[in-house]
Amino acid sequence: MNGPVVAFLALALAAPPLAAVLGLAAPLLAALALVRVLAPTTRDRATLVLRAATVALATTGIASLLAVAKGVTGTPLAAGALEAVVVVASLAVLAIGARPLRPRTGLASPAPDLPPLAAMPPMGTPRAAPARAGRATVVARVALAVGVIAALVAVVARARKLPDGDWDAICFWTFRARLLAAAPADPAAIFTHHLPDTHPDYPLLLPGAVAWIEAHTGVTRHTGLALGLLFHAALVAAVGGTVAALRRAPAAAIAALAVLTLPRFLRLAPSWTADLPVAAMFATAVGWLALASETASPSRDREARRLAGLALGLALWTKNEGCAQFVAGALTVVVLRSPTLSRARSLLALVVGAAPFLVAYAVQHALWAPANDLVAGQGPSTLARLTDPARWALLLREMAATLVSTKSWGLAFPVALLALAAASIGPLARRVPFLRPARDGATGTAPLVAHRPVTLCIALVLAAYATVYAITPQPLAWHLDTSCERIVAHVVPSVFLAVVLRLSPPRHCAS
Amino acid sequence: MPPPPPTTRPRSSAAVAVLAIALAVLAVRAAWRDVGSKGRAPETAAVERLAGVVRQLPATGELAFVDLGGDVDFQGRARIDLRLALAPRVMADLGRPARTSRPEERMPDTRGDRDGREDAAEPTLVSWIDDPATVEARAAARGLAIERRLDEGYLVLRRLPR
Repeated sequence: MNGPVVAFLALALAAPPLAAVLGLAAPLLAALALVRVLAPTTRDRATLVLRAATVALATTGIASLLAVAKGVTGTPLAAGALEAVVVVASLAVLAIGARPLRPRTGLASPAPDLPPLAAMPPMGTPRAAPARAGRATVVARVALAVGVIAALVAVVARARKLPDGDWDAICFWTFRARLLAAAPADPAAIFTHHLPDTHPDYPLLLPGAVAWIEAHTGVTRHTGLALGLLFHAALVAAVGGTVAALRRAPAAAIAALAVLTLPRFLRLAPSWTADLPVAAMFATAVGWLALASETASPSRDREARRLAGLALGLALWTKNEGCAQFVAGALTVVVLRSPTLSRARSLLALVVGAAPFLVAYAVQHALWAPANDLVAGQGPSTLARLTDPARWALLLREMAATLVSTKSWGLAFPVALLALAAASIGPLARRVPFLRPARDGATGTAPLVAHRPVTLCIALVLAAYATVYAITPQPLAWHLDTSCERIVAHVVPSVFLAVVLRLSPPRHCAS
Repeated sequence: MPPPPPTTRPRSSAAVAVLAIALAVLAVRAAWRDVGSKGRAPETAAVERLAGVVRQLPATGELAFVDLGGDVDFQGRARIDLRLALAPRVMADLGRPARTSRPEERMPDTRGDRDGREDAAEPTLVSWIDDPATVEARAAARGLAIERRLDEGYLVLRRLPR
């Protein structure tokens, strides 16, 4: 049945507006289908915002895969049969997945309406009627709305000053996007090793997404701004959505609002660069790991880890730093053992989720991309650099100074960092009422643990970044000077997530 | 023995509201500072000039770019990058060397580079730039014609039919 439909859609693509719509719909539908395949039972309202953020990010990833596939095979990027095939296949997957899920043992209602988390009432407990939003919730939501409007104004105003993004965008990301369109079937030109300054080894999510959108819409001036707004919204939604799924509404609004107080991200959003999407993907990944840590259902646990893997795979396909994030995520699921899954199954779920983009990254680097300068520069002197105390002193001092910079992160972030550090010190946390660990609202005894994978993953990523700085073959001071703030930005919003998860009470509790 | 009291700590609604308002103030403050920042980033002018060229890159193949010169400044690096990236083989035909540049060669004074100012210690790029007539002649001899001129001294070249 799909054959005539594909033919019809391919013909319909000749009309430019429809071509643009289908060109944009194809990656969106494919992302929806991918998320549905990876997490068929995680379809509840509690995780709606986090799933929306995941789908938005996956849409850009799939658009980039399609653009790269067309670019390196010499197929024009404009709409064609590929889009039609993707649309039809995705709709088929979604139609199959839309069937009601089989009721589980002892349950009369289908699974999609079930609350996903252990913190919620046990299965079979009648659900309470939704309570009216309290005054604190209303105030928090109004404050969030104010923050969103202010951020939107700031981002658009800055985009008017830099309509093509900043230097890195033009030299690396947009440049590679243009090459995908201008050098069809010529990977040697797209990934030429003659141009180390343009970083031809960088992954292709951002260039691919930009090329895809520009080819289908014909718009070249505002693509980066649109993507920047999308990534910024996904970042805020990932942090707020995770808290919304696990904690109460005011806490979710506060977590989302906290992200909007980060001045650096207001500048990253219109910059067309890759650090904002990486931050959004990392926040999404640790958000799913947080959800996995507080669910009692093995299937929900497995699905949350798959979606965490998907987000980590997207980060990998966006920037090489995503490698460190993926390894950190893998170590996190191994170290913090799931109550419902074995370590091997947890790790497998993570890898399954990341698989599409792991494969794309491997193909790019195996076939086309020249060696990364940091990797190619390793050799006998690596150990000497790694064990040089002066280098460690310099890089740790610089990273610490960057982390507490109010110029980059505003006033709220250092406070949150301090609170997280204090809450991590056991004796201090037990003595200060505000810092005492929150406990499960259903049992009143089990401590809530959702912040643990977030905190551990952040620490591991920072440790990995510090190690890379230690062994960098580039001049260390120059390397820190030009990159430290941008890569620290990858984990900064997730610190808010860890703090709010650690300090706020569960979604369903007695108080 | 009575059950333990709920261990979830009640949070004062007032405290939550105050925290939300404080964060909203910080968010507005950050946005206001960004909107109200004077001028542009130091490198904005250079970025805009380069962006003008990138924006004009064609969406079809069989085109090559040659930099015909101009000021040697902060953008010289990117100009040459663009030129070589788009047509490495053509550039080799025209007798230009492929070149890699390491940061330590390129920007011994990183502060100068970050500020967008020309760095006196930066290796000169003048020797890379041929005069326009020479490049045109070489291009024609190798079956390339000038398609059109772009900003910043770039040319779009097209292969002539054989």
